[in-house]
Amino acid sequence: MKRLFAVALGILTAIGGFVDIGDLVTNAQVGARFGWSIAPAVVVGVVGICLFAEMSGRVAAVSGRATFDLVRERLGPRVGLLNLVGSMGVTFLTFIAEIGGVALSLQLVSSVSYLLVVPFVALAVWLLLWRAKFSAIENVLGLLGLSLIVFAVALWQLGPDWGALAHQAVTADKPAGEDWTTWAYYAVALFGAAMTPYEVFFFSSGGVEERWTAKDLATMRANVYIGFPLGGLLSLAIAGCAAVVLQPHGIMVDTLGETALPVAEALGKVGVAIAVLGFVAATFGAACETGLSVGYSLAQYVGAQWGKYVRPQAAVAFHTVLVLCTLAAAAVLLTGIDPIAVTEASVVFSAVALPLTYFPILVIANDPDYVGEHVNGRITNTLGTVYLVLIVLAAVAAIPLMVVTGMGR
Amino acid sequence: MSPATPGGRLGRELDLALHLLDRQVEDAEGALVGKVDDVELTRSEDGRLVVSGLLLGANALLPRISRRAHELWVASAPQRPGQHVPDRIDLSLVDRLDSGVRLRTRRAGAAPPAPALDPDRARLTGLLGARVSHEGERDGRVIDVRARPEVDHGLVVSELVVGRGGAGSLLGYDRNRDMGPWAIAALVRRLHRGSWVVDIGQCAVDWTGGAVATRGPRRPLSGDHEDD
Repeated sequence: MKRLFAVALGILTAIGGFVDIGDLVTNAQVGARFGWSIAPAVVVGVVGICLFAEMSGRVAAVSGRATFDLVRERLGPRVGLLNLVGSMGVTFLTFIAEIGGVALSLQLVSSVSYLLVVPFVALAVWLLLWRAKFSAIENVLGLLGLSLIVFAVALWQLGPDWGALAHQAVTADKPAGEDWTTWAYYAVALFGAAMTPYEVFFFSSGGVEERWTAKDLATMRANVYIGFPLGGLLSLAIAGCAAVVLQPHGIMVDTLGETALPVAEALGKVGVAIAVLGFVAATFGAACETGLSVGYSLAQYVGAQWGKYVRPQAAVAFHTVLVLCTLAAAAVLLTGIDPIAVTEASVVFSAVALPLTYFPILVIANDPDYVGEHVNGRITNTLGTVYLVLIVLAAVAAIPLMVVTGMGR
Repeated sequence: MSPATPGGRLGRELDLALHLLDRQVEDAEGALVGKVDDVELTRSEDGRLVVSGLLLGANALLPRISRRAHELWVASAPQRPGQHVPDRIDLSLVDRLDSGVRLRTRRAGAAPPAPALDPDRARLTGLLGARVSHEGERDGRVIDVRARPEVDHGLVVSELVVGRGGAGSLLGYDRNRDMGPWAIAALVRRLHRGSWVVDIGQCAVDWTGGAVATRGPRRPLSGDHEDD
């Protein structure tokens, strides 16, 4: 019974924790412009994150090593350092975007400018990272994030022409007014948003925090294989809502408020209240995850003590990094830079950084020196190789597409 | 050597760069100590090269990343006598090696500064990357150093692995036949197909110049097999 509860809780928090600011913004933007015609990119991204999260979780459970340990062991200190700078930069960019997302969500409720909210959000994030237990952060925010299910309810209430939506998704039937380069740009962005590298940094380090062993593999797999796809469905629901309500009116999504607009039409004030709660929880949770991930990757590169499983006094360097990056993120946001623009940049650069993270994971998940008998099977390896090609293609294409399309304008 | 020989991977033949270097070190209670930033080798009186300790910290890591960065690090506090000296963990404190290095003791005090300027001591990374010439002809670089435990002598360097170096030599595919996925394995093995192994007794090492001269028989690395 206790185990069943643990599995259920894990799945629920995986669903609630799947969506972050990148998914919220990108899916709504894409839905409003392209309907469900880029939905395949979300599906491909979700399968990819399941595949690699499972590998990184398995390595963490069996060997006790989180992702950045492996990066340095397999790429050496020099290439590993370049990798660290790249991955940490992208994760930090995402961290800024998440804190901005929390502030924007609170602005929706309070009508107080998000700039005034940012310092308080940063303080709250840091206090949680410093004081709260790891499981508390993951469970409470993950469960509150489930409020985003309101998007699925709203889509159902809006009663769209399901056949038409499905047809768009299956045939990649983009609107005539949009060109394929823009379509490709957003496909790469959605792929990057679904597979953001911090998810595996956090997932594998979380496994070490929670002291997984080979016995926990089944629970871990349930979280990944059930929780992540359901979280991915929420992404599709957000895009679907935007497709049904915003696309016919030609409304482009530039703010979080516009992301919530379809929920208002379908479910009224109560729906919006729940959606905004979901925004706050999802972005707040992701802010904690990305903040921790910056600290995790740096500490794992140099070998310093990290983690919430020890008292802060025992992991001074790790907590110093958390303080500094929270301060830095708040400082960046206070320059007045648009958090939505930061979000758009973060998902594109995530796509660029994907191979840095996923290549070493694929190699180590095959190394019996680390995972013993739990090495990748044939199917996992075939899929892993296909995804490695996809990931490299997305990484190479991301910047040129961004330049050519002017960030999709 | 040490009365208690370390267990795990250290109890049998291993490749120091692939299996030991850059791994996480944790103490007897699981607290994280640092990374194996370098490995200390000691020349014994009978000419054996023995793995004697782990080197940790900026003074072991920075020289591997950039000499200039290390010079700046030392110059940042020239008043400290130990500013250029890495922390050292004696191999007798190591309990076992698997995916990480586990110590027998708690971390407090486990890694004092290494004794400086000892002519008998060398670093593994002084050997890795060294240019190799076989019977006078240039043929690749040292990509790994193989060691095996010997009774009464500890962990002794037995062979050098020589290859073209560069990308992929730390992935393990050149030394483990069964590792997938197939496409990566084939690519990496192709890149490193000319790698070979030579007994340390046939090698003359120029530590300051970073060069190794070998002679006599050698065997291809691809003929090797891993026992796990």
